[in-house]
Amino acid sequence: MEWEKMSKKYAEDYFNEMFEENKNITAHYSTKYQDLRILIMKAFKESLDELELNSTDLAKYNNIYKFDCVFAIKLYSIFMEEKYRIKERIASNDGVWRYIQLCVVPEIIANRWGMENKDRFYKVSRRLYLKILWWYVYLSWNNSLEETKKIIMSDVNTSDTLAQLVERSGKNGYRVELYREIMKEKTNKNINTQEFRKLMVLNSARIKVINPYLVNGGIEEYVDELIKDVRGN
Amino acid sequence: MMSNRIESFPMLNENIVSELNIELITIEGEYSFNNIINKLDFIQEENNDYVLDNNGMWKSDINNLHIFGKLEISNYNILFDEYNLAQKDTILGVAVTYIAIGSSKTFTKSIAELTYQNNDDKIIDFSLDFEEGELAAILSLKFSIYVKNAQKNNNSVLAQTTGTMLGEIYNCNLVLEGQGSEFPIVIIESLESPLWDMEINFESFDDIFSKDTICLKINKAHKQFTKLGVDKISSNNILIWKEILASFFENTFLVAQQIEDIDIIYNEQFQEGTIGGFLKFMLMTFNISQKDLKNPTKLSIQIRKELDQLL
Repeated sequence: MEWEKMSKKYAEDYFNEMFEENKNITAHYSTKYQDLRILIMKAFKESLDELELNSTDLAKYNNIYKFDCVFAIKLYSIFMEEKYRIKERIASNDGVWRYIQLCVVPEIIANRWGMENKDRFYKVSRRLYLKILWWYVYLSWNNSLEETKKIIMSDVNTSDTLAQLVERSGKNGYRVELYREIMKEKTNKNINTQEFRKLMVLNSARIKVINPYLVNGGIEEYVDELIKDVRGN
Repeated sequence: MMSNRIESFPMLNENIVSELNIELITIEGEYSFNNIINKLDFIQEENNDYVLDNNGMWKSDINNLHIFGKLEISNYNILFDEYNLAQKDTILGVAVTYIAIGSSKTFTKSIAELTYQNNDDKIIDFSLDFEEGELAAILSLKFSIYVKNAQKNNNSVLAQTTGTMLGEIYNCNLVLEGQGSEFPIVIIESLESPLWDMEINFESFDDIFSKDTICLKINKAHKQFTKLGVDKISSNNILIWKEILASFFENTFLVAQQIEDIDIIYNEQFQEGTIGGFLKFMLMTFNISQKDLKNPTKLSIQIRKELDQLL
């Protein structure tokens, strides 16, 4: 698929016109997005149904992380389909996400984050809602969608896990295999939110000196040591 | 347990790296298409290697990429004796790290071991594989030396922890798309779009210059498409191409001025492969002064005047 892209400047004008002046959320998209819109809207609706919610409940739902995970897995699965396959190159392009969020399925962003949340619609790269859901699943990937779902939906994970993981890309990008191992072990070893924060901070400091990929025993050994150090054993 | 303190140990410096006489002997690339392996050329300019496909088919978003080469390192015993960066019984390693600029990924792979021995010259083979859609714009390769295995010695100040980086020995950038003087043209097929259109999708002059940030889109589904003669510019189609290119550049320069302070293009250096680098190159090519750039009428005339000379 040849993805449409929207620059930040254009997105700002579009957002101001659509949402601030008209107070109107209407999807306006190229016809090639028609089927994709149907799929994403369906995934959103099914996620609400699965948790017995309706879209107006989202703002006050007390386990919003659970909703995000259910929807993230469905969304990722759509972008695994041949026709809509997204890989790292496209997933890193904010313009692609801005177009989908503002033009194709704006109702979803508005329902989840409120109509006026510019950061989530287009403004802040690491906060674009659908983008971060995609990267969260990608960085937590473990063999299959089902296995990955088990990991991200584990009780030890929260919205803070998602933010800590996705927002720490570093200037050279993500060490994908390292993050996947961290997420796997976080779930296996029941690492709570506070411990996870410490672990990510420790990792950020340590990788300045030690390269996780080059440790004897590999990434598994490196992550194991990180966990031991965080837990002081 | 790994140490939490900031470790302080001797590392590589410019002099040591210079004595190691590092040389990238070869770097090659290939991709497969319909089960046939096609070779890619690498053209070196300064510190960048431009990836070129003589078949004109390879694109990082739709083709895989296999890179392989040989790196030579000499006199590396100096790391163990003269410069004393490692104990003589330590096993050091050479690693290659790739940074996929534009697709938010980095990875490191060990490619050789270095031990203290009589023959301290080594030719190291390396290879990296990428799937289609994994890369964008620029692939940066960094070769480093690290501690692979060291005997614990509490009295030593040398790096002993496995995986500790001692420093970079060589780096290069592979420019995959958007080489300086060219700009990406994308053929699209859309019944609802005009014959040509453009996409400008950057937020900063430091952004990567690629077909995702600036491109000219030509619409194959348009009824006038065949008249464009996309394959070859000739006397039959030169006028329309000049006009498309003039409008493309005019619009690019005007939009760029809305995004950032355009004066910095004239006053600062930009890295190869960035939007800033591209804009600077094109402004010089069209001989556009700072004053004319801000006057749409003069800008329009200047671009067309230069295109008359160039095409």
